[in-house]
Amino acid sequence: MRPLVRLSLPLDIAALFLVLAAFYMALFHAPTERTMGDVQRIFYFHVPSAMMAFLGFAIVMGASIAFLVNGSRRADALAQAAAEVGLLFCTITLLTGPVWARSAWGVWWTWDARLSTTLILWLLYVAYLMLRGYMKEDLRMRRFSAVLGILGALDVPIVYFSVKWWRTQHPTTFIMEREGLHPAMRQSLRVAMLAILVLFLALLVKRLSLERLRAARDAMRAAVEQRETDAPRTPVLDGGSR
Amino acid sequence: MRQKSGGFARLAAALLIAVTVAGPASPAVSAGAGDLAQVEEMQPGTGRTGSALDARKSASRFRYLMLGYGLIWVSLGVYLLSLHRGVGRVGREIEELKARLEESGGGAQKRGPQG
Repeated sequence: MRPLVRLSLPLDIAALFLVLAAFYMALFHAPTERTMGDVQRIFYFHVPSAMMAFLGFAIVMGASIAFLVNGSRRADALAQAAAEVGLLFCTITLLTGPVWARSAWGVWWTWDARLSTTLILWLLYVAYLMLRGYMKEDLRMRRFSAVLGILGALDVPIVYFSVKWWRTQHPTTFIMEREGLHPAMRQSLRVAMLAILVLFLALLVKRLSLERLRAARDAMRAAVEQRETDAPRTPVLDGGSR
Repeated sequence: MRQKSGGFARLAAALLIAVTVAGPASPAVSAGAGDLAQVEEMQPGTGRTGSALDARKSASRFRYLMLGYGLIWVSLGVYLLSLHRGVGRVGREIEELKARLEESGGGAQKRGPQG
């Protein structure tokens, strides 16, 4: 975990510059789309945010499997951090989508397959974080949350292919099928993708640092409790300071 | 760590304000000169992009765009703030525990959060 923490500042700086560049390109470099107008510029952050949510939940799945196999605390911490950051990007996707939909479709929300499955994904990871937040922090909680993390990630391919499997109002464009985009739009999308990826990594590292601090606090708390329970039995060993 | 996170949160808030205030004044500003294939068509002889209705529609779309971008910045700002608060809270707890350890004659547990 420590080499990642060393990356924190360079990642923060890179994320800041790239996000600013992505906003500049989305607003000034990319041309205005003919039918949807300016609101289409939400696309440059809506799509990368959805991709980062998928990446976050895929990391949760991998780390949860690693935790169930090895019992590694680091894998568990990574799963929690990735779930939180993935949920942030899923929230951004769910917030920007309705704004775009209101302008393009005339409604804020419709119970379309893509939208509904994304909302289910979001709810699954809210449940994951609630489980971790409200249950007593022990091996049982970690195992339950690992299983829920894996089950939640199974919704990711359903969300991704929902536009192919069911008739939806959501555009059916896939990442690999964007050849039809104007070159400036494609460039803006690529920069935004990179910016959001670096931002995702920067936030993940920050969240992992917090988890490391929590682990240090828990170890220290256990030491203090141990010492305080031992103290009445061995008062002489304290040097008679009290 | 706490200061860095706090600085980042403040910077995010400043950027949100900057982007919202200093964004392009009208939809036409945001269209590049060489993007004729994608920009809205000019009405012949008028030199204007569509009717008053189109202009209203464009303004409305631009407001939705700003709302969308605003929500992105607010979400990021709120998350960074919550991270910053979490780091601050755990840092304070570690300081308290350190003090308790030292009070109870510690020495073995000198390893701090950075250790």
